[in-house]
Amino acid sequence: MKCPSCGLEIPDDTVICPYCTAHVKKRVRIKTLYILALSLIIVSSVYATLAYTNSGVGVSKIANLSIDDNYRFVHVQGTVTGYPFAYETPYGVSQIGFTISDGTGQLTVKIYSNLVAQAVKEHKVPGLGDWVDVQGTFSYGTRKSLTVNDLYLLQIKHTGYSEENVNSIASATPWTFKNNEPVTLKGNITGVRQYSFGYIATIDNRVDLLIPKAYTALNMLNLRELGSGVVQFYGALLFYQPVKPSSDYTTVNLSEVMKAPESYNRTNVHIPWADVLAKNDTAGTLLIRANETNITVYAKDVRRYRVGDHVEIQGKFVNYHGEWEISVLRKTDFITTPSWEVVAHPSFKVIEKKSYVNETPERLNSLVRISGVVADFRPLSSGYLITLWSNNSSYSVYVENVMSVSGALNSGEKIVVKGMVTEYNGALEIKVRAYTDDSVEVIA
Amino acid sequence: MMLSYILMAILFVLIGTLIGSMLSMLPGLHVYNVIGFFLLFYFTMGLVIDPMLMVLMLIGMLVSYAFVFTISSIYFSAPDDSTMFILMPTQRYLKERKGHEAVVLIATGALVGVMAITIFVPIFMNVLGIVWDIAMPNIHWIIGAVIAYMLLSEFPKDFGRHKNALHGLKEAWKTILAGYLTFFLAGLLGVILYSKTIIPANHAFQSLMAPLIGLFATSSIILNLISKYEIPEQNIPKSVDAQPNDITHGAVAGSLGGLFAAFIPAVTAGVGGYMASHAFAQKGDKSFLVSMGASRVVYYVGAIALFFLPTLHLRRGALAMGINLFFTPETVGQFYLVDAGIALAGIVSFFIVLYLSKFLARVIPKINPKLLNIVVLGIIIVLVYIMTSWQGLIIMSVATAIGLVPVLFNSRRSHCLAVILVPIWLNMSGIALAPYLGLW
Repeated sequence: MKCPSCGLEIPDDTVICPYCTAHVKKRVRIKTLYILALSLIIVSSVYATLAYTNSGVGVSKIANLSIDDNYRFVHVQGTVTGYPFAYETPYGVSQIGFTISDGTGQLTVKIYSNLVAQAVKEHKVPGLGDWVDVQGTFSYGTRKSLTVNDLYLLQIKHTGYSEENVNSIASATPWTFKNNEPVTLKGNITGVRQYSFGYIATIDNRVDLLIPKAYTALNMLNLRELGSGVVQFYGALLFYQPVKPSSDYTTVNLSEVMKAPESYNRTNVHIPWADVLAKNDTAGTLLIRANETNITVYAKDVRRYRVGDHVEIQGKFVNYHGEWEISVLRKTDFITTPSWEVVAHPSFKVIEKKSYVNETPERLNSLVRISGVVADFRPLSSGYLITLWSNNSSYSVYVENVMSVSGALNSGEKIVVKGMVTEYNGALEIKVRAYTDDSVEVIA
Repeated sequence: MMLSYILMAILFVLIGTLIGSMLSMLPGLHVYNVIGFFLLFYFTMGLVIDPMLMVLMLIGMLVSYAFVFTISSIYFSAPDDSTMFILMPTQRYLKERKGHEAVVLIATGALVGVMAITIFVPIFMNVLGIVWDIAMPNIHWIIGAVIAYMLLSEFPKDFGRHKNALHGLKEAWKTILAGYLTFFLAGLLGVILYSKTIIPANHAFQSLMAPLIGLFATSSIILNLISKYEIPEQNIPKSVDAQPNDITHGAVAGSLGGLFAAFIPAVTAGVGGYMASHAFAQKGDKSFLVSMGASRVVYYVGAIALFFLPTLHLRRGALAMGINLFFTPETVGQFYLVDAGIALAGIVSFFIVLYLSKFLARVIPKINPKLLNIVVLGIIIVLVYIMTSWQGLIIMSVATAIGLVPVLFNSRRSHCLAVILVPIWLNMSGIALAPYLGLW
């Protein structure tokens, strides 16, 4: 017979191999070891099932998180209240974050390093108003924050968007919508301005779309693409008040005030929403209507307001030569034009792609390419105004993107303008929008 | 956790296991060297891989390395710091045509080690937490005790008959002193390398590769080259010469030794398993090989399981430290996923190692052993050059010279581990030797 260990020929009935000293009888079959190995499948399956069913840690209320929870792994849920921020370095975005609120408090959720790119890829960068379920390491400081270490522990739910149009949003009162209400609307980008927090793009000259810097830094919202045609935008509504009302002023119902005006005489009043019915630039007055009641507002300068504007007023209710009016003269008084704006969500659809066509600017919101001679060039506070002579006609070109013109243009210079046809004061003009493919090119 | 995520996790474990298995076949290449490169790529390339999936892939690589490197150690005689203890018995097995049987015994130990990690470590989770709390402030004493054990276990030496008393005394002390000389030189090398290595900064994360290869792998290969070394035809048995008792005894000793090594810095699997085999009064190669297989797996893989253990999160081993650069274990779900991955990688690695061993057992005897050793030495030199530059080759040469001392004087090669033990022990004890050596 052969030794089962070394394979050499050994006498029958040998118990110990004389060559390799192996025991010939008392042995363990290798197939038995296979069974041992395969039993690990059960172990692996049990753990995989536990991982699948494990619900993790319980949800904490943000208000209950204290210094004792510092560096602990916590689970919170809430609604995104601000828009996301991104820290940019020369090597790219190193951190993104956003603030959530669960009704008890606020907490900043942070995503670092490699997870940033992954979050973009997996569409795990939320927008204002999104509902978020997140687990991560809690940090207690001046602001409570939570660091996400695994993206599967971050779940984002986009609540149902209601379809609106630019007119319904532009004319909406402060009570028409609620802050953070998700909406979707179609339109063209007719202008872009840059701010420290991001960009404000105007949709069809009516509604402002606030694009947080984080989305452009992460290339989730590309202004060139947004400006290339009719786009379906997604976002959340936010009521923008240029100046926050002061608590020293009483918010009043104008019709109630006018029933007993003496009792309000020389008091500070706040009217949150009124329509401008008429204005007198010389006298410095506006006739406004709020709560079905008209009243005159006196201010130093009313030239910037137009009939039909919606305004918010904070001033003193006074009697001037027998007429009740609101005086807006002190530093804390104001007349502003609040409006609903849309804070962009990092998703959009280009519904109709447009290209620049060689035609005269006649169709509103069309993209045109037109060449001609500079008849006049005027620098303005926010851009340049060019009068272009082309095909025996003159056209008004407003250059929003000052970077697209290197220095002043001289009369007689031949240029090619790429821009969008927009309306200004009832007349059509070509607008060279900033941060899009619009441009002014000097060719001779 | 979503089902698709679990399936992705399984896929990444399998990918890691296959990559680890292929790389572990290269003699001299430690999985930590490869993982270091993977981490560098992960950080610098900004790869969009979920960190947890990346962790699972690395765990797959680690588990397969713990299993498959046995092949390289046995058939190519290129051990590392934890397989050097099995070099002697496995050489005997090879010469007795039982190379594959040795691999099966070690792989069985490794398999039981995986079971110990996945089944028993979670059960004793709270106990381990208490033990760690007690041990942590006294780690330097424990490492000191390990060093003392290694040095004192040289005694007594019995060299049988001798010409006269003086000759007996000389022979006995020759090996002991050679062992102590090895310990001193390896320790000194370790202090120098830990304080001011000559390896360029861009290769610095591989700084231990060159000394460990020099101390354990190249010295063994050089010994093979200068001695009459032949590998006879190997038998592929259907059973192994062991009884369930041998396997159980070896597996328990090895697992405990590996756990000790996984817990205590500087103590590697070899030392842990070796001490455990003494503690369990092991007799015979069978049980020892099983224990070494278990010890190695528990040491390498157990360290990562301890890292994810909910109550402990112990950062031990290069992989846990590397993972900690980009990942923080948080949930029990992650721990379950890691254990599922370890078990899965264990099964796959077990079968890979057996089939690779069968293949090599048939092929290796047909190759000229000198040629084989030269090729292996060539691969090692190229790898060291690529990983650590020419400065690494210098360190490897010095380490090889130190590694040859125990080989030539028949003393214990375990003293070479002073290269890790001494600098870490000094560091943890707050003793700085470097300024006295002009290294600051």
